[in-house]
Amino acid sequence: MSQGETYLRSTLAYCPRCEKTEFARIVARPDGVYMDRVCPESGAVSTRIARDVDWYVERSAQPRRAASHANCLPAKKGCPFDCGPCQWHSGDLHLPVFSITNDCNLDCPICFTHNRPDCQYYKSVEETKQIIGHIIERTGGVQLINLTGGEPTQHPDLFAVLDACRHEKIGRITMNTNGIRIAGDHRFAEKIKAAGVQIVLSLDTFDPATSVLIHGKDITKAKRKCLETLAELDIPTTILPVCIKGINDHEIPDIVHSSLRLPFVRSVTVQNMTYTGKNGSLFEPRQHITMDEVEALLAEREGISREDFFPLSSYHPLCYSAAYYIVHEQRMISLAQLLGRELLMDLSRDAYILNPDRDLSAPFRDAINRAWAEGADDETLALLRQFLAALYPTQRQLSEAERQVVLESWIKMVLVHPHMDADNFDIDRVSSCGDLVPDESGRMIPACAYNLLYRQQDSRFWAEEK
Amino acid sequence: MLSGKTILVTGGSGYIGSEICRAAHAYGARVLFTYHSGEAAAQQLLAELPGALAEPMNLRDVADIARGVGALYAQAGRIDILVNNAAISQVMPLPLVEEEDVDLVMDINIKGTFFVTKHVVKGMIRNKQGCIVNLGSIAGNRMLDVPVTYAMSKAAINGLTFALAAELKRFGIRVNSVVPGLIEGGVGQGVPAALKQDFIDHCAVGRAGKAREVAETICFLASDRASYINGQNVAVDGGL
Repeated sequence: MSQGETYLRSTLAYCPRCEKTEFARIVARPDGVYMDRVCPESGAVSTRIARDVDWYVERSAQPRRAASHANCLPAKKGCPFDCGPCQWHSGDLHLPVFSITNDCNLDCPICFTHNRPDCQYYKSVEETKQIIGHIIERTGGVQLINLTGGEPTQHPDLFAVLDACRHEKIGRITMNTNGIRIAGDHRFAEKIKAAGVQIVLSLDTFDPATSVLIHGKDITKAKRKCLETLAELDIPTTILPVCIKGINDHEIPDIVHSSLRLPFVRSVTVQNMTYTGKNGSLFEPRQHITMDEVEALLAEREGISREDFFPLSSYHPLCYSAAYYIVHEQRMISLAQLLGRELLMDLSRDAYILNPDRDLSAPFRDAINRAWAEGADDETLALLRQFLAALYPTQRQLSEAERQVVLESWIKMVLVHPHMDADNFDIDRVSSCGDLVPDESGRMIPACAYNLLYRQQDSRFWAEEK
Repeated sequence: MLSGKTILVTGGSGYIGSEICRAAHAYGARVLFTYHSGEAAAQQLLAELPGALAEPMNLRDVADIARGVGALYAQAGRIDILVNNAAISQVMPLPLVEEEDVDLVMDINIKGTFFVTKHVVKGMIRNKQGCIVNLGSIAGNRMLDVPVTYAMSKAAINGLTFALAAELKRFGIRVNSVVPGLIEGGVGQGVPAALKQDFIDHCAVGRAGKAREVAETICFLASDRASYINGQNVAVDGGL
């Protein structure tokens, strides 16, 4: 050990050059936590994975539960080469994510996937049904699924595919998009609204020059127009900014804070830039921004603090950091500060989003009494009063569905979700991943392993250059 | 059982209220009911119960109560039975309860009940007969995790029942109250799952009650078969 270093743990990393896993040690240094590995070909590689050592130690200590699966592939070559998942995978499936096309109307320099513009692929209705069947078979039902691409709105038979995704055991269908089609085709947007899909809109910048760096051209006008259309049609939306150190990190707090106050926005997911895919693996500058750095960035503005964030218990503690807020106009109340992080972690134990089946009336009542007795300000109490009055109107009882609508319009989620790339690939994380990419055969691959290793093996999405 | 009687049910378009109307109709009474925000439900109930009359009434407005009761007397000629069913609950923990919340719940659940009774009972005194059944709640009688203002207002129904029974005894008017436990639907719909389960665990019958079971008890108390029952709070809670 070098002076000033503290050994924390060891894991396996992945070397893209050797295409092998390698021993890696996680060490704390004065300026952060690093993953160090040695490649026989290229020498020592050190990547910072957290800025705040105490934060890392606290997060890493969160208890985790091993899951047991049926229909798993045998462990033969070792993680991450047996994905399907293999019998050693320790995470439940919470968020199935699958590409319905490799077609895209952009060629973003940050794109972390492999696509194949020479041979466009559109997932068929039959393939989609097979995938949905496998998801139900494995899980018995999930809170949500995510359709991605490519650009899903390029799919010529999109609405039939969406129909094929509908199932009583699928809580919600979410679909990634760059928003260009929604911005330019109002009729299409109306059909999206009618389809009941939750949009996941990538929104990285409002600066034209930065947009050129990130997207290859300035698409900020289209993004603004898309937001207008989503607002006009009140389409439930997740805003998805990719945070890139030195490129758009200064814009992220504004994007997150302003998005949370938009009535049609249900949540914001900040993804840390990962350098995978045909374009993304070559993107410069290659500076990783860590999960705790993003939390600190968001906490620079009033309304969000680092204490609001907690690890989703259903995932590896370094994969998802979540914060929930009661939001109304300009006021925000952190659920973590109101109810306590332990309760929220408990509610996320078997779920991607907080388990809505749990009755929170008693914890809410206790928390409100405590907040009041400890001197909560009048504005906070007034906001809580408005929230409860909306949830429990005196004139009549709301149905479960109506109550869910009220909850979703008042309570918003912020997720910080760093994917992994070759620099920070950690077998400990990927082996417990709950974001799995399902295919028609029933195989389900952890998302980061898929992005780094598997997608380019699928000829529908990628072909090696000759 | 209620043949030849005219019954007025306040809040008749609501969950329990509409069941009381249906039961009274089935037992032969002519049904009058009031409603406030449930116009559509009121119209539906009117269509369901031939001969019924509905009157919009704001129980927070004493003048409107006088107007509404007057209108019903004018149309029906008499009221033999009054069921004070209309009430609201407000889910608000103690720290967030403001004066306006207390006023709202007390205005409707107590003051409104009082003034409906005052205006209806005038005709009963003239006729030297009548029957009043108030709707209380287990919330007013037991230590339960329920909204404090609602529990307060329902506890007041006990006192109202005793004092009214004493005051009106000389005119042949009986006054009782029915005290439901946990009832499926209506206000019970908003009861937290843990509290529901706790009730069921301690209920001899082992389930939540049905609105019809409350309505049956009310119809019995309102009938001449209950002529010797006066000034009582009758629990309909499955046995706790």
